[in-house]
Amino acid sequence: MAEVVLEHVTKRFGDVVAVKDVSLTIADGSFTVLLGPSGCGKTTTLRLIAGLEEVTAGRIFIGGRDVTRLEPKDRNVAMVFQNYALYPHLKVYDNIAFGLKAAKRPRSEIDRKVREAARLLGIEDLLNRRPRQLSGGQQQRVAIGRAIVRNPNVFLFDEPLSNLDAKLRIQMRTELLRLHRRLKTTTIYVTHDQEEAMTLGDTVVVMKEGEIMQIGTPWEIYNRPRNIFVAGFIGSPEMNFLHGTYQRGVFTLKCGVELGLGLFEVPEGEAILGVRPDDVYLAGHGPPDRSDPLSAVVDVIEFLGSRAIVSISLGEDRLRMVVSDALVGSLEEGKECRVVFDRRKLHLFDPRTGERLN
Amino acid sequence: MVIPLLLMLLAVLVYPMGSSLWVSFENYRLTALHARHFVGLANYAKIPRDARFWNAMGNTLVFVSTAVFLEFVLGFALALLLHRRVRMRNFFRSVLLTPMFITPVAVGLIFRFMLNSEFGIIPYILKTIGIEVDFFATSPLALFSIVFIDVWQWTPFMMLLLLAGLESLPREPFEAARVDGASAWFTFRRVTFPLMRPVIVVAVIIRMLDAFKVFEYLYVITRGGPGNSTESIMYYIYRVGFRFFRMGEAAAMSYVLALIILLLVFLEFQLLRRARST
Amino acid sequence: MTRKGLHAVMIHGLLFLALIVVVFPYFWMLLTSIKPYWLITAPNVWIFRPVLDNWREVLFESKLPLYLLNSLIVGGIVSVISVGVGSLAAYSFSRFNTGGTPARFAILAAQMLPPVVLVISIFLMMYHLRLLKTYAGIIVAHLSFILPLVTWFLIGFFDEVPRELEEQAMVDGYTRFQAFYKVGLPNVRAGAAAAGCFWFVLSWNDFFYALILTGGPTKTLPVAVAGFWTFRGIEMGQMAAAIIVAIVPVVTASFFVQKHLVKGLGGGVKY
Repeated sequence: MAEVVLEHVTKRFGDVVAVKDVSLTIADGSFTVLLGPSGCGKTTTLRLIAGLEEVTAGRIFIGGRDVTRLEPKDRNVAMVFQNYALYPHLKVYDNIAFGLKAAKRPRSEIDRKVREAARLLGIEDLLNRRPRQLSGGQQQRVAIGRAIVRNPNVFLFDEPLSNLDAKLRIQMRTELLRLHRRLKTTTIYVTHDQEEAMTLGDTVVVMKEGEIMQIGTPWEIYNRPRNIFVAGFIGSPEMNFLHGTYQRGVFTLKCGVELGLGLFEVPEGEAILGVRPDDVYLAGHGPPDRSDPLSAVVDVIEFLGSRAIVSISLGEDRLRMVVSDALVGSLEEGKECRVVFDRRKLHLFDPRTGERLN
Repeated sequence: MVIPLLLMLLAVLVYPMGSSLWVSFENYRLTALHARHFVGLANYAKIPRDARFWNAMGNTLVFVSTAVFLEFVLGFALALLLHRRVRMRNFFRSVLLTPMFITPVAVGLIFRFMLNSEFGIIPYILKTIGIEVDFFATSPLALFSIVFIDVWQWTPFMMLLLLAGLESLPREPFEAARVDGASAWFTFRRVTFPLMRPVIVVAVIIRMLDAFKVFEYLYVITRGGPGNSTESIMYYIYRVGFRFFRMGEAAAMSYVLALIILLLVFLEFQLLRRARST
Repeated sequence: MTRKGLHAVMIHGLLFLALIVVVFPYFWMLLTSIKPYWLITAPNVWIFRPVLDNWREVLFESKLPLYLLNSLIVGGIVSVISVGVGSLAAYSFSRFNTGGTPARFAILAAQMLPPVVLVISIFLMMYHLRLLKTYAGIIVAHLSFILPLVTWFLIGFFDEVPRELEEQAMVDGYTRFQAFYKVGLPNVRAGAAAAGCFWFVLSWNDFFYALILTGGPTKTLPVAVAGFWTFRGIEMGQMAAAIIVAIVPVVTASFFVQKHLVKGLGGGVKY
């Protein structure tokens, strides 16, 4: 159990800067997710914490100890790799026991801990098999077992579910959460799947090109994105962005339509309005605090079952909105419709810096 | 499309093999061709009582086991060193591989020159620190001097094979071992070595087969001496066939040698099968 | 110094040590080849005025260049025949799996035979055909172990070229043989050329067959070099020069071959 602190950590590979001056505190016992597109530096950051890579600058602390110069084996961390990294020539039992054997623990202790971990993960009857005889999900569980059994200070997960099929992924997600509730070990989890990040993490760190874009709870990240990148990366379907100008409480779209927003602390000038498809409604069905109705033309309707994603045109701008299946029948492609925005869920961004304005 | 190959192999391989086999059944002496006739297994029967044959066989076995063992240990060590991300790795590897490409005759002469007790550089250096050695004059030492020369020339070959094997191992289990807390030696013993087992067996077999044919070093340095202590089996058969021209006996001996080698390879393959099933 | 730094120094140190062990004999031979003959039996003399007498005698006044030529001729003929015949067969083994796995191994099994077995009958054949000191005997002998090896390697190389390339050619109208010649063969050229140096070296370095089957004007280089074994003081400088002549081409070729060797052997060893 330990707190993990990164102080001004930078990692350079030749000319490429993978991690740029990152400072981060990960609370003891938390489930922190490092989220971002590929190449954003999240895996590198994880490997730096593990000790598999050496920092170019900065320091790393685990449980108050400066581990920056320490080898992975002296940091008391455990890692679960994306493609499991099991020892192909050892049985499942020996795979899990490997770390304990390396630490020269007595055989009875090893046996007890391995069986306990196996029971926890539901793989007791696989103990005598070899990795190549197991399915992907089973191999992943063995990898997790190998990590649990050492009682480390920190669990590190490097996109462990990305090699599994969709159904298995959702199943394993629940199991990981259950495991975390039970063991309460500090967990750092890397993924590029924002849905995974939102459901698993109690803290989410959004990264882009080696820098941290925002740290917060899933709620904060979703409802108060600090910049356009975070706003656009989180949430599915993606947030709509409309360009326009803001003046005296009114946001004017390019097509001339005006929205009264009433936010007076925001500086005047050009701005980008962000609104999620879930927060765009058909006129007459919106929330109490809503904008005036706007006229739009229906472009494409994508039917998904209980809801549909409808693409509409507002002058020159294109938007997407989510409409429940009960109401979608009243819409027709090419015909007009009237929509309203939820005024509590609007976001304004500076077009030059991308930073949030409201 | 395979026909040209088959025809050619028939001419250069199969026919000579058959012809040799036939010769082994005759008392074929080049010095007395008119008297040549079929004698069945008589040549083969002479072998169990031929002390010199077994002496040569014994020398060869000692040579092969010592040389291949040393080449394996040193070759593995060098392969491990070269496996890391060392600077100038390619340079080191290229230069360290060169001995295996040199014609063994040249290597033999080089070391005969360097180890010569009168004007060789190595005994000279040893003399300055008080050690007087004559590398080829006394019995077990002469054979081990030949082993040393073989080790110089062929360790790079072992290193090459083992390095290729190391580089084909998956990377992730080794990272997992680092995080799992395994020391370098533990990782080597429990991960590297077991995963390398198939490669090791093949490399040892290949080198062993070659080591059995040791001839050049003996021809240019010791000629089998002192006494018969460095006479290898190939050298002995050569003497019988091309110094005394007793072709029939030489052919018989060579087939016996082939059988013994075949037996050893078969045993090693069994080992390989066991290594792969783990 | 950090632990990682110390580690690196140790590794470099050991490698450097190995380097010295390997390179010192070359250096010593070079030194000896430029020593005047009265200094050769004096190992402690390192500083002297170098002379080129030994080199002059070996390169211009002895028959060594002739023997070098012999080695080249034999090696060249063996390589050409092996690649020609071997590639046809290798293509067949690779694409049609003729003979299945046993066939592939039978080829390699030929390697296990001790040369004494074959040399006796080849010798007798040549003796009776009065072809003893000609190229015929040695070429036959070298083919016996190089041909299978070449075929084995080429099978591996053809395996790596995707079949689709030739199938595409055949769909476009080529016959199977044309597909082999115009598509399959050029693709293995790169690897085959590198491995070709390897086989050439095998032929170049052979001593046993050459000793028995060549002589006089057809002597190959190793046999000629072995002639120096009498160790007369006057000749040892020349011996050193001759040795270097025998070594240099091969070692140079080895630098070119290396990249492909590691890849090819790595795959081959794992079969």
